[in-house]
Amino acid sequence: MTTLTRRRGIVLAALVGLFVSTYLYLYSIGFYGELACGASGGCSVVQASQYAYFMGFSVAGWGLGWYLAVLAVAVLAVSGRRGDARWVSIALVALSTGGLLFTIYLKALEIFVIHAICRWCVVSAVLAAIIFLLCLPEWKRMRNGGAREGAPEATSETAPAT
Amino acid sequence: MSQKQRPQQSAPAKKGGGNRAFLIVIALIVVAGVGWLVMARGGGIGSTTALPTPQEFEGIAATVEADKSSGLVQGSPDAPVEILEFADYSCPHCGTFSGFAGKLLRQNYVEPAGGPVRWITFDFVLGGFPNTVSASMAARCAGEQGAYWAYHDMLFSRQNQWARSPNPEGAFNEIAEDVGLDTGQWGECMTEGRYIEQIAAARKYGESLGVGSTPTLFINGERIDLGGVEPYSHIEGLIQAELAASSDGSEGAATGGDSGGGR
Repeated sequence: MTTLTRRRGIVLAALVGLFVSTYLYLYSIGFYGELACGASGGCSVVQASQYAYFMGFSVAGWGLGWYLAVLAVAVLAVSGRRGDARWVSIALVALSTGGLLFTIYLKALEIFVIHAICRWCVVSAVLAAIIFLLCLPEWKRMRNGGAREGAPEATSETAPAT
Repeated sequence: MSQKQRPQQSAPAKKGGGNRAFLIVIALIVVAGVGWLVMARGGGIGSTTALPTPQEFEGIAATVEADKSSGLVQGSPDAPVEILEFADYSCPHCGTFSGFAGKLLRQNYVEPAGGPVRWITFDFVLGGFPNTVSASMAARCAGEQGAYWAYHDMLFSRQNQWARSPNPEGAFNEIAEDVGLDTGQWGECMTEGRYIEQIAAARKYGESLGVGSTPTLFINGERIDLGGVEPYSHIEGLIQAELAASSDGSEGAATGGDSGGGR
């Protein structure tokens, strides 16, 4: 997989996550009366729990902000010159790692404390895990000081494509 | 080296096609996502229900009179002991009382055939809880399908899911489904705000009796303030005393009457 393809994957995953988190956020502010949650019905339990808020803001709001940030950086990463900057890799690594850790914390709360699972939170967790996995090669780019066209990593990634 | 050159030769055409495909996928996700968010607004039972705000309720409450018949009755009309309960669905003490002592009292003295107690519950909407009126409406709308008490009990047992929620409709909908309601009919009742005046009249009735806090019980007219949540045994003792007094005055009255089952 090329760097560009991988980063495009991050853009797409963040975009899907943006809509999921927007849906949950709109629910949290009362825009929707109920969540489409299926037979499990755990969504309203999770959303009504005290853990639906983190540092005074709804978790859905944090999710929305996180996906927006990932999307913004990922769009920069696929849009030419700026994408090769080291700070882009640092930002992707920081955001994806932070997002995954927060997701693990939330999943643990759902399973061990709230005892209810929200399917939309699961979707978001899967997306956060995908984003993290797609961001893993950014660690290497970060250590290399940001990759440029023709750099070893980019070459080795583009070659198998043909 | 040749490996490096090949992708460079084919890159422009490939990149252009890749870009186009990427942009198409983004456009599809955006269209689907926006469409989904818009459609979700109108979906689901009760999701478009404009539930009354506390302010709207107070406006209606100012226009109604106290009415004892606004209470919801369970038990025999001939029962020698009458218990009036004034409760706010959002009040934590009411939840504790209803989940333990209240439930046991109804099970032991009201629900059995020929039970000696008639239980009448009144919505007593306190200020400060945003969803109480909606909860009272939801329970009364469930009563249209014979499920008032089932809904009442579940509202209290799930109080933490909706009492402070900015969007309690989801929890109300789940309870409606769990008690087996025709949710369409129930949602229609909610949308119309069918029982809001009765709820206001119930509170007025409580106020006319001097009720100022919840839960409050009256056992054959004698007031018991349950602010500290009286233990079951204490209330049972009071019921037994009333039964003893009524059997002294009227032989056999304590065992007469059919189970009512008013909703």
